[in-house]
Amino acid sequence: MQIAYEKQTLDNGLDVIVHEDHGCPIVAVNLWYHVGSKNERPGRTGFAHLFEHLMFEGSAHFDRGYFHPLQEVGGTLNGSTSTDRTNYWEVVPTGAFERALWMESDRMGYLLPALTQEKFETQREVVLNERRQNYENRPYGLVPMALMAALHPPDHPYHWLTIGEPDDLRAAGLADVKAFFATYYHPGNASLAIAGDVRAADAFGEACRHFEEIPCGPPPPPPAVPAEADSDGERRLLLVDRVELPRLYLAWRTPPLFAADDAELDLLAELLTGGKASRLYRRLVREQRIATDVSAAQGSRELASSFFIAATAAPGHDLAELEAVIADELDALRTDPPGDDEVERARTTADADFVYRTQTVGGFGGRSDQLNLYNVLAGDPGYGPSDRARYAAALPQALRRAADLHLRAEQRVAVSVVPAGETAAALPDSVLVSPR
Amino acid sequence: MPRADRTRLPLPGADPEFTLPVFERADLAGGTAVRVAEHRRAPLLTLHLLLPTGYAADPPDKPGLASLTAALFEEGSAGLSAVELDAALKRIGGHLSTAVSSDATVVALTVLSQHAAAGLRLLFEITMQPRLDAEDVARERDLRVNRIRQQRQSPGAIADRVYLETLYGEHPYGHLSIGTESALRSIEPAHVAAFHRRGYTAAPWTLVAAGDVAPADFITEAERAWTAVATPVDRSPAATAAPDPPPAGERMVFVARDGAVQSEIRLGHVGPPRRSPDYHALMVLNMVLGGQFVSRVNQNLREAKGYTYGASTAFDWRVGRGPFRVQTSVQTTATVDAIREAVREVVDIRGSRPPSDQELAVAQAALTRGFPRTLETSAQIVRAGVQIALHGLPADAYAQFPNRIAAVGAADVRRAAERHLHPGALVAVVVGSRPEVFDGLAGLGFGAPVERGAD
Repeated sequence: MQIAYEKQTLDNGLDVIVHEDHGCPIVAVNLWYHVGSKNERPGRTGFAHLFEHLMFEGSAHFDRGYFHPLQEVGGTLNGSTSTDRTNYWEVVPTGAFERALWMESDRMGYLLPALTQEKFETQREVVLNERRQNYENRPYGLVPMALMAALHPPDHPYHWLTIGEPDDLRAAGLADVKAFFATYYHPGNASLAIAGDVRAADAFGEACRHFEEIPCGPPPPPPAVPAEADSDGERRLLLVDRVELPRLYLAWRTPPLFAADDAELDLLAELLTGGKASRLYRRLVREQRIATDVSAAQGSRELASSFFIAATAAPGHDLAELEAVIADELDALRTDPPGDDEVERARTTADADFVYRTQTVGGFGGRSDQLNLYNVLAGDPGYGPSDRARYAAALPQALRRAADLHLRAEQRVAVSVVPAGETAAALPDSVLVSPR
Repeated sequence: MPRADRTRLPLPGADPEFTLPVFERADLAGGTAVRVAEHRRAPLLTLHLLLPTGYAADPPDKPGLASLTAALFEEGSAGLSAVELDAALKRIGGHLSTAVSSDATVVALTVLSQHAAAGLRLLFEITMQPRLDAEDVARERDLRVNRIRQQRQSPGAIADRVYLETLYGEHPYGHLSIGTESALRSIEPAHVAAFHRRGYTAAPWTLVAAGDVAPADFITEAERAWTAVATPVDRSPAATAAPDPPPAGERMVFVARDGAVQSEIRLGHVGPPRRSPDYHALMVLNMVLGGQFVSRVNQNLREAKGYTYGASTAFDWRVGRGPFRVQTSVQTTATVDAIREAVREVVDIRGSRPPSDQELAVAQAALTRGFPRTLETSAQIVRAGVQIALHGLPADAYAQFPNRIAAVGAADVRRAAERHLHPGALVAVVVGSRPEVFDGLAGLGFGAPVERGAD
């Protein structure tokens, strides 16, 4: 489904994209900065996300928390940081559209005068608690650190997670905030999408009035991406965690978002674990009953993607049993193209998901967020139909080829997570690691 | 073009009129009610089938039976195996899910709207004639046993379970929908079939739908699909609300998770039912106390102290008296201080620090001016229709919501706080590291902490 839009670029380099929809009296404001943890350096990991927190703590002309003035007019707001980008959004009643723009523009133009050591330290504590809650105190929560570290070399910007390392967060200071703001938070590195109950001419006018005064900064340096050597064989890692049941993670480095084979790998994940008829769910969970769950995904990103398969062993079974079935199904996919009907179902599911994503104008994944994704990462807010066409064009033979090229055993990282005292359940020859 | 005036925040302008879609009503033979709203935003149709039986209807010795039975709807029908059902859903772009709450089961299906007829047929077929194959029952039961085992390592899941057990004891609200390991192990396929007959087909159903459809056409399709699969049943009136629970005995319950870097905390007591005349005043009160980011509890524990990633409060609106709760996860060293602060907020809002006029204005605006965005999508509209049907609310309960909220005065909120917040009856559940946390819990005025196991 095409999301109709108009785009203008202000003199300072800010892209402004407007999508009109008058079905509900709300307006979504969505602002992307093309910076994420991929722009960090070793020793200061987690900083892009910590910075995002500071963006909610006030700016020069409104030096207090950003939630109050938006919640008091019935708005909702949030932000998030990934490896590739940081986004901020508000969904407000039509009458509060100007207030949302005023606030977004004030923190883009005038954040630093409002920043204090005290705000910085409190938000650092909040972020450390976010890390404790979502990673350290959660079963299997430290696996992503181990996986990304094994998939990418130490100087690759995907080697670390966006949440960062606690010691790095503690080492950061206000000087880092100032440098980061100057480098990445300016109109030339941002994209503003406005969607909902507003006339395009008014939206562009208000965008100019609020953002045009902010000067463009120099183009940020591209992230330093070392050439990744071909993997010289499978790596097997072992994690002993506070879990009840052993779980196996298999991961591969795969082509970036929108590159050749990205859509094919996405469809392969659906074939493998999407629903009760999928190949792996059927064999592991339904027929052999040696696993309690299995999932797969192509995690598409700007510099490189990762393809994951995760399966939890049923009591009394070990991860080598699960691995054998997974390897068998991957071999089958590498050898014979999947059936037309099976691929057609996966394509229909993917296609329906494009429609599902158009239900709301705002928030994470809504129409405004999609327009920015396409604008920032594909260079064209109108890339939606081309994105969708990739799936329609994926033929069974192409899926077979993608599996053969990208999902080989010798290229993968295998992480076994086991409860204390049950290392025998891990894949043989796994090397113990201790992420924190 | 003149620059924006940065000396002051722009004042919000008036909001345009917001009109809720209207539900058309029809009744199918055998008593199933249909409520359908035309909402043409995307070529999609959202269907929620409301079965007014939830986990409060679990037999006392079989907590988890309702949830297991409902999960088996996704395992196929008399005419379709699970694998065939999955394929049939994929062909129509269908998303199927089942949610079992304390008082109801909702089977939700969203399809591309061109496949409305096929979607309706599948939805009725799997709920009226579920396959309930013995092997599927056994496998799904075992998967749930394993999920319960895994939850022993999930602090949030432990805290939720122990909190309900502490508040409600043997009361029908005293367990999670997934039930308990020992009860699940005792469930046989025959129990599931009997529960389906008694608990599901015997109760009146409501089908709530919204999306890219003409209501009259939809009702015709619904009748056709229903006629094809309905079997005659003797329908009894909807279940009555669960009885009032007894007062909680233990007030400070601790579950050890030694070495944990955070403590998971639940704090509260039994609250009023959804049909409480104080519902709107309590919605406003909760927005001041802990219902949104700028609320007191989150501002205190997160933004002022940095103890946590977030802290919130909520009334769980059920047919019977549902739990009121403060919920947070805080760094281990802050456990005792965080509980003390959270208790203080509950005490103060009904005592020394009632909501100020400004706080009330913010809370009310959040609910009234924020109202349209809570009803933007078909799924949101359908959920509203489900709440109306489940609680027997007036048909215009949502249309009138902003007016009712706007009419709440400071005195109403004060009275509601006095009536429904009970600082002396607060119960706390803490899942955390014993050496750092346990001893300090005794000094919080809840009496001696009682320790429970994670299972």
